[in-house]
Amino acid sequence: MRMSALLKLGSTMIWMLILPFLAGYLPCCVLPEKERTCSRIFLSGYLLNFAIFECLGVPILLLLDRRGFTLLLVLYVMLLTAAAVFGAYQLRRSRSRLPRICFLEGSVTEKLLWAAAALLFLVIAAMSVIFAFYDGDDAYYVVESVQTWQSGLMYYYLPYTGTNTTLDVRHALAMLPIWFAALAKMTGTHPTILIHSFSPALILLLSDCAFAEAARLLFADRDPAVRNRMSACFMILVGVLQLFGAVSIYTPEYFVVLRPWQGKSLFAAVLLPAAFAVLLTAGSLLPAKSGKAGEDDEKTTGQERYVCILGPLLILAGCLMTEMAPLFLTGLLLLGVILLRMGPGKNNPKLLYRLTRSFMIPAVVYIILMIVLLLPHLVRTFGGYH
Amino acid sequence: MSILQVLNEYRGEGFLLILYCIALCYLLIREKEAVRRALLVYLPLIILALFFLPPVHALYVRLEDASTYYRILWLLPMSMSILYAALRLFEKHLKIGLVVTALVLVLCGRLAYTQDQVVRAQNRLHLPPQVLSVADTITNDMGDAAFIKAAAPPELVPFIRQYDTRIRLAYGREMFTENWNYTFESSVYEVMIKDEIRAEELVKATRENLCNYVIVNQSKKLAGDPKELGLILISRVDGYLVYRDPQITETW
Repeated sequence: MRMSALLKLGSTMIWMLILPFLAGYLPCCVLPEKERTCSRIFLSGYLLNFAIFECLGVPILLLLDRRGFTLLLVLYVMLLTAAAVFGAYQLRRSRSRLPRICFLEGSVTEKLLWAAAALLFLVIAAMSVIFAFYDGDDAYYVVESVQTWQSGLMYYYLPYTGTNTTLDVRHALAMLPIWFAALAKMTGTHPTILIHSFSPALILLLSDCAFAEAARLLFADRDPAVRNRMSACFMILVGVLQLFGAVSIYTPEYFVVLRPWQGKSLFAAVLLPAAFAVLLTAGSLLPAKSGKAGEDDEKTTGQERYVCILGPLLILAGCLMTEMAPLFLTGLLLLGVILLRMGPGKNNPKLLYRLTRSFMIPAVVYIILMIVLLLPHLVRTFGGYH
Repeated sequence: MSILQVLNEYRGEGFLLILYCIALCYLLIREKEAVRRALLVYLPLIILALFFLPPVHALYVRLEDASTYYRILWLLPMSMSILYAALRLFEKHLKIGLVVTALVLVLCGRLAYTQDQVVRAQNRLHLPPQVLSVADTITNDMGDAAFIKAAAPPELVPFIRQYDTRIRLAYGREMFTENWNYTFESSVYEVMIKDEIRAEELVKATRENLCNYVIVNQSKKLAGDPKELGLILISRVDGYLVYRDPQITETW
């Protein structure tokens, strides 16, 4: 019994932490080595992970009439493993061997500040195991995962009662419940245990990685010690805000602490801060373009490629979460890039064009797919029939 | 729901939205660096302007559910701006700033675990333990039966299928979710919510719905005996009576 629990824990660690982390080297390999922070790699790995699942899942769901869960699982495992192997190769090739871990850098005070931030993370993660939150929406999302896990059929039954149903395209394209079902198969855990007991800590970690990246970029113009200290303070306050941010049932903090496993929570707590981190990275490209050459050029080219890769990954990950997330994310990224372009002395229209193009491609494909699939619904909505 | 009502409901009980407005004003005045100014000041101001525009609200309501309009506010980098503004303000006295900001956040916010639906978890599934006992009783009893359809009391309905989806239900959560603009009907639900459950009515409704298992909360008054109507009591578990209806099995 204990052996099987250990095996499950081991496989959970491999599929939920190690492989996504290694896969993170794939989008991050374009970055200069000193820009490859631990939080950036982990976050990028998960965005790649989500994007792979969505790109495989939607065609399989639509073409195989909701019966291709096993095929989806096999292809997903193969691609995730391939990405992780490539990541491990990149890690082996890199000079430093290990990514930068901010909380291991700096003075004792800085380390203590980072330790306090880590402690707050652990407290919230522990609370998510100790306390249960009974949310009505779980009767849809969690049941969808359990149903797929047990039957191998995707969106075939109505989650509330189990009667057969037609494909609800609006909800079906956001395949997060199916992703949890796949993860449950890979780890050998009941999906409800995985979702309610394990996923909160993971999602909180992803959210913290996105905020840590944003903090690092927000304080980028300070000298390294001050930057590290301010980033640590920022992360402590992120923890405090997560604990005390549930002023209403609509805030992102409420969602990430109490029901993080739902797509909208991941969108609000992980993808949106990550989008701001991407925009801050894009912003850091602009002054350097007109400035120094040499090492900075290499750094800027790498960062630009990274932004061009991560933007579409974010939008694809958004498709996995909710039907509105990709539209919100594309709008936010485009608006951000336009505003950055309008800043004083930042004349680089080619860069703007490249970023816009990379953000628009997945969004346009998604919008076309939505319009084709939802045509009857759209006709009803705008034709005035109810 | 009007735009202002959405904003007011989002604001809730604390003062975090007000704190964000203060942070935004502070950054508007003090932040000179172009990238941060663009992303933490101009971008949120444009999103706020869009949020307050009635045509945007009207379009959103047509495409999506009006009750999710608050999600546009998620696009504002609220926490990022509050924390950045605070740390920028206290940059020279970071330790004092950290303590003061943390205190302000605690005073302006609300602890997440004080919500009504938060309870101490009693198992790794984070489901009420009665759900597990009742579902296990049914699945252990089913044998090789390919089909289980249960009539369960409303308090168990949202949870049973989170544990085992082999159990189908006579009605789902849609029957008792407030603010849903649909009309559903279920004769089983109508009987289950009565203060006194009449066995005859219950069995009639469950047979109409082809339920081969019937679960009754023991704390409810039960007028009549379902056993006399042909049901078999298979277990009393965690305050629930679990019956099997052999007539329905034969029908299947």
